[in-house]
Amino acid sequence: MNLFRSQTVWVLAASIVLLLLWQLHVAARPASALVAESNQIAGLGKLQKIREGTTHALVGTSIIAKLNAAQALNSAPIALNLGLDGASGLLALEHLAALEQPPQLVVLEANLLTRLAPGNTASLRETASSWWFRTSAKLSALQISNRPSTVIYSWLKALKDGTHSTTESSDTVPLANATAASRSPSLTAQEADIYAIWHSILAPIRERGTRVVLVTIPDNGASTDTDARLAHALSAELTLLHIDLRTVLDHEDLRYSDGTHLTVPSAARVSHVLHRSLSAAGLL
Amino acid sequence: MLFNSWAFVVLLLPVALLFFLAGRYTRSWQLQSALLCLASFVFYGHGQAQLVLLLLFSLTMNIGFAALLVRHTGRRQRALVGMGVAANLSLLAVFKYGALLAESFLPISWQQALPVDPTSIPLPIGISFYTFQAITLLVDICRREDPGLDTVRDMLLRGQWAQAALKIALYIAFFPQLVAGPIVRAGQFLGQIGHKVFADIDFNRVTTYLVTGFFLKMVVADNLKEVTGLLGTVDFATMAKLDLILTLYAYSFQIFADFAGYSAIAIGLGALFGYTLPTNFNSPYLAQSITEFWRRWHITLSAFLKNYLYIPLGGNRASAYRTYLNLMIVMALGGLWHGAAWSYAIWGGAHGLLLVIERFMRNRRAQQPDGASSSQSPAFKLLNSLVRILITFHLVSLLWLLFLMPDFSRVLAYLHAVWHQPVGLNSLQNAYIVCLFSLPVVLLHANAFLAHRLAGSPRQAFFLRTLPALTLPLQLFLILTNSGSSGAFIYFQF
Repeated sequence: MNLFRSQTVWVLAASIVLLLLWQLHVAARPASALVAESNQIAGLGKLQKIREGTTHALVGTSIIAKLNAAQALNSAPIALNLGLDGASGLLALEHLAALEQPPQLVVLEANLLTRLAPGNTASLRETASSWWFRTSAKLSALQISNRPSTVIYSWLKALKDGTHSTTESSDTVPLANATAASRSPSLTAQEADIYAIWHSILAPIRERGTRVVLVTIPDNGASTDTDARLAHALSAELTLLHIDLRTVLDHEDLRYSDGTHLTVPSAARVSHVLHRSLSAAGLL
Repeated sequence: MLFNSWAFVVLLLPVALLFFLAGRYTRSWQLQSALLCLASFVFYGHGQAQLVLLLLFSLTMNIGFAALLVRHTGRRQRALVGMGVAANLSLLAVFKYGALLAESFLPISWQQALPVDPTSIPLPIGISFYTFQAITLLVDICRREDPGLDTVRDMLLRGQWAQAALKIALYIAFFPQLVAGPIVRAGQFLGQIGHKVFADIDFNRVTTYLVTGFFLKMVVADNLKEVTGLLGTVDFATMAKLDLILTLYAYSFQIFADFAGYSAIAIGLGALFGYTLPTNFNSPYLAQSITEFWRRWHITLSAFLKNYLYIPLGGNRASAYRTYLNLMIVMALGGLWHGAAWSYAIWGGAHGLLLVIERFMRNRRAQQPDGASSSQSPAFKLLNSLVRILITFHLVSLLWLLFLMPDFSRVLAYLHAVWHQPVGLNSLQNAYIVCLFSLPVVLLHANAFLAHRLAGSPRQAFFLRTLPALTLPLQLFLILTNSGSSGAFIYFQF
């Protein structure tokens, strides 16, 4: 068999060349927030970014996913937004808990603590435990966030949405106090089951030295009383600080793209407030 | 075991290595075949070892029937083949259709009295495929039309049981086509069993089919399912008209890419071990009629139904109305083969009805004097072809709704929404996914269309061979960088 005339060899060689060219392109791209063509891809891309050295993370659902991690956790060495569309914050916490070097700070969204396994959770969990997911994380050209279709989608979305100026003077940014609840409320049996699940994953994370802060984000009323009671209970039992951004932002004219999720400018505003609140609490 | 899994790679590499080493140092087709059989059992039993017992039972039963069939002739042979076919269909009935038959035909008190709850019987993966292959073996042994069966027939007559059993076992259990086809006729495969050497392997063919197959499955189908996964649960009233239509197109392209991708992988793997498996798809969405669609889609199933059901029923040799009835029976049963739910039979019956209508129209046209078609300009003929292609594609796509949503009320809800929802597009994300990942399927068909129109021209080779080969590196690159979330092949459920 003449190797040089073999189609197989040429196909392999040409695909390796394409991969190298793509690797160069990806390396030259400026870092930006992940904007993916589907919730599944966005979630996987975020989970794949979790690695040793992650210091700060926003964790939760699609509500906290709208915030800008760089703005909210400004000055943090490695800050990730692990808000997962259509999935629970538990999944990201599981991945963070598996790190040998625990993160310094986890900001956990307290809006939807009752939603333990919404739509995408099972498929995300299955894919994120596959050998390809772990292998492709090691080479940037193969990472989910650098998929050609995702890169093209990000570019098209940026063209459509344009850029938003988000710098603000600190004097105009309000501040929400971070407080820990003193007494746990009484929970129903069902609420106690949900509480136990969150407690079982948060307690070990705290014991390893990670500071966990609960944050309730303006969501136009999506959060329920049950979510609030669960946040209260976790805050009291685990001595977690709780920042309720609604107390300082409810009177503001925030915009919601679909009635629940913040628009980009509003999310930037909320990110600044969160950053100031975390800084004032000595967490950043 | 999925083809795109680490477990499959771990199985394939050592099997291929041992296969070719055996070919080189022992020159023993028996050793090579035994190795492939063993690999096939491991492949089939991965994760569900008890399935291998069922496969072994089917193999033993069919080898026994084959041994009996070669020793009898005439009415006795016909009785034996009838028993063999019935035995195979009984396996299928119990394991695949037991729950459906019990729920549809037995009173509840009788269902509760059954020794085994039919709904608890697991559906063995691939049973529909290897059962049909076993049927071709038994029937073709009797027909004596296929020279590929002569060697096995002689072995059975001479008492060379082990060698004959090995060949039959390899034919039925060969792992590339075991769980989702192509359905290979016995003589087609058995005639190829022999000593294989590395130097004889057509690696260009292997590469082409494997890369194309994995691309269609992992890049096209697995990404499109991000959108089509909604069809089972979403409230259609929340989707605008274009969202609904695009989602339907997405499913049409997804099911093609998923199944054609699997078939291509099977053909590539077969070629890797020196076996030529038949083509199963021929650009089906270029069909200009439902009749033509079934000559391009799941070709081996169509061939099976034609040779082993339609023709024995009388085919088109009887009256026109008997032909129509035969078509309806074959298509309804063919639909039911796809799944244990009456909606699949309805899907098949709907296709049968369209076939009947086309045949009726064709018969009427045949009675009329010919003249108009020969005077049409090439441009008109091209436009006519494109319009017919679009109509056929949309008919097939609409009928996929019955396939995708066994609950008929959801099909009606979808159609109601398409009719009443406002024109518009709510999800740019979904539109992006559909347009981008449907493009390879559209280009594949467009390339085939151009190649067909250039038949006889020197430029045809460019579209038939050169252009597809040039895209292989890009396909492989995208397999590595742009695959969707892994999922089972759609046709595994059959």
